[in-house]
Amino acid sequence: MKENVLTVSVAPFWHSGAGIARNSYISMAVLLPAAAVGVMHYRVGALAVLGLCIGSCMLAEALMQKIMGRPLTLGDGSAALTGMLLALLLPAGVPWWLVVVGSFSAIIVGKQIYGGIGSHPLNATLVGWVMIRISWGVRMDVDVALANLPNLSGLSALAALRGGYVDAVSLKDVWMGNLIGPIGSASLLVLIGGLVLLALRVIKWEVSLGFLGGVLLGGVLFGSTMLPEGSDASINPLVMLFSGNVMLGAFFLAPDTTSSPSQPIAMWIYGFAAGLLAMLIQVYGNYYDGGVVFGILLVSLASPLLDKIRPKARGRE
Amino acid sequence: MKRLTYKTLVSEIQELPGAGRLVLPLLQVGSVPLEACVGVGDEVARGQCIGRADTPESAFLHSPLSGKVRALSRVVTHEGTSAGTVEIVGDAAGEVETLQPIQQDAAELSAETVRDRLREAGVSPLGGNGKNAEYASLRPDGEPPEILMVLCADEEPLLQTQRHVLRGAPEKVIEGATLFQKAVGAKRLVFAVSGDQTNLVSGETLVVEKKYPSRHPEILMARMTGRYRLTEGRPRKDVHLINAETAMAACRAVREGRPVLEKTVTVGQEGGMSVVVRVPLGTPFSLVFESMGLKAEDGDRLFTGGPLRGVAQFDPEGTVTKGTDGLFLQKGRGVFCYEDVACIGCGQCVKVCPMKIPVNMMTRNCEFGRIEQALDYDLDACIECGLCAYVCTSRRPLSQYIQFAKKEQQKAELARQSA
Repeated sequence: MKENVLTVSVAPFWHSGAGIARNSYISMAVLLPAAAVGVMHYRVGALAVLGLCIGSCMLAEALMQKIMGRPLTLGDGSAALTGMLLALLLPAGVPWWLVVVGSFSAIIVGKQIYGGIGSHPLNATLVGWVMIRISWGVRMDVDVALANLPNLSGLSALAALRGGYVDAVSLKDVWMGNLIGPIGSASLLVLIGGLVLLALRVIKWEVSLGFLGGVLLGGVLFGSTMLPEGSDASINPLVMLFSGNVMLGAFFLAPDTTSSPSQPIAMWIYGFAAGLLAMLIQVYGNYYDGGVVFGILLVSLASPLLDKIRPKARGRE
Repeated sequence: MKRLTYKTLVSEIQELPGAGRLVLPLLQVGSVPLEACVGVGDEVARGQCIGRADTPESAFLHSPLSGKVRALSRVVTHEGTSAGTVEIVGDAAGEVETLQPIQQDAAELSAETVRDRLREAGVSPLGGNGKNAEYASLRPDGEPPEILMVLCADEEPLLQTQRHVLRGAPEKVIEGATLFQKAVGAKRLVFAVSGDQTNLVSGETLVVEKKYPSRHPEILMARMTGRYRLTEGRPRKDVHLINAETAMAACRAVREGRPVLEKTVTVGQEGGMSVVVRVPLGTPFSLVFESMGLKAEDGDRLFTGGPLRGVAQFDPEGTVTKGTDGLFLQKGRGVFCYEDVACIGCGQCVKVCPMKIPVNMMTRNCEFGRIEQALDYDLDACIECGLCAYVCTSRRPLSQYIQFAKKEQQKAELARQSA
């Protein structure tokens, strides 16, 4: 009689079905509507940036894993998600080589040199963005990059707010990304996608809500200082909430699993601090278009420290 | 993410007749290893004692069949230890050879009498793959526990064993619990039941929730006393925990003189139906499955106990013991596999941990044998419920890392003591 070969392992023999690949693909799927609106506004330019970003992120990941002799993990979708997020942060008109440099920076400098997913101290997408934003400031400037595209006029939401042109920025326009801006400017759609992620428990909801809270408080506290002196206009805090990639930050960038803390209180503090810092930079900083990006990046540095704030184990109270 | 809850009753207990050939390990849950008291070729009667030991920590073993002893050998039991075995060929025909029934009231009996009877009839803490035996052993200082708790619900999802036992004979479970209380000298008797079982028991009850791991021994004890394993000043074993089946076995041992010959087991296939059967001890797993029209094939996973704390089996010819609560088959395509990847820090394990352990940091240290650091992250508070591995986004074998680290810690402890 032939003997059976059974599969053995330790318990549990059940699994919830959660997975890195599942999270990545769900995140990408819920971002599709916002990306589609971006493509609608900027046509083939946006499509090219999206494709190139995702493609070169995946290529960079594959190359690095090959060089380092690690197993190929393109299938988990994390590189593709990084690419998609980076694309949504970029204006449609940037040159192709800038996209490639940004993508390679994101994957190689932001992620793979630390050992890949799970090991990077900062959000890879943001590292890539910051790299090219600081190195090629003018080309990355939304208002400059989009100047040559037809059928578009006006200022980006953030530039208008900084200039004190409050009336030029209506809530309806920032919701649907009608003003010029990065590809992922349709913030209402990003918000809906984010809520889907919350419902599916893909992301840390504490971070998202903390972040939105921080942004709201920051908007109320600092927003009015952007107005010209003596102006009797006021800034709707909701406009701050829906402009400048805040929604992308709250639901897709700040809750990045690896660079954010995992303890309940730490997650709230992290999200809140990142949101507040984002508004500070957006209102007072030089890189006002990167408020959200820099806010999250800087607070990520503190996340191992924040994770020390944890409850005592049962029986140790 | 699907929530882990316990399902409710589905059917009656079915009797599975004795197989022609049984293999009984001489090491059963809640007992020291036994000596075979029969030889190869001996005739044995149904209910005759075939394994015994002289210490009070033993529970004797009896033949579920009348027939012949075919062999004495050794196996690795499904609890994972090596033990001698008695192989018996025969049939279940004929009356069970019983001990003298004891009819006095529990109040009139001495603890000694009951304890001796339980030992001779082979009543040990049944079920739980032996993992719960420590919660049902007497204190070494002889001090009686405060509470005897009888768990009448099942510890894990999928399992239906204890529910069926209670529903089948509630009066015997209650009677047995009273006798057991006498034997261990507990001051209070508490029945832990799920919400729909409260009408089946009398006296003090503790209603347990539907959500896993509400029936884990450590959680039950904490609910009863407000104190956890690590709580300072908690007396060792202030709660003595047994389950409904053990209580019923105690009742039959005392009142009918009947030794433990069978085990009630929930049997099923993942995604299919499951039934509760009463199986003679020593019945091969393959035969139990065969009775349901199931067969373990290459690549399948076969496990005893529940899906979160069970033990995977390497041999379909392994046999049912007093520790077997459940017996399940996962067909090849449905077998979930762990992956060797890094923790991505999603924090799900931290959220789900009933002991509030920073599981992400703890298991990272466990994985690389950094025991001191793992202890700083509360390794010793872990009750091994398996929820962290169940929710892990990276599908890391977290339970394995934890068990490994605990073993390493024990080794280090032993080395320190002997040095």
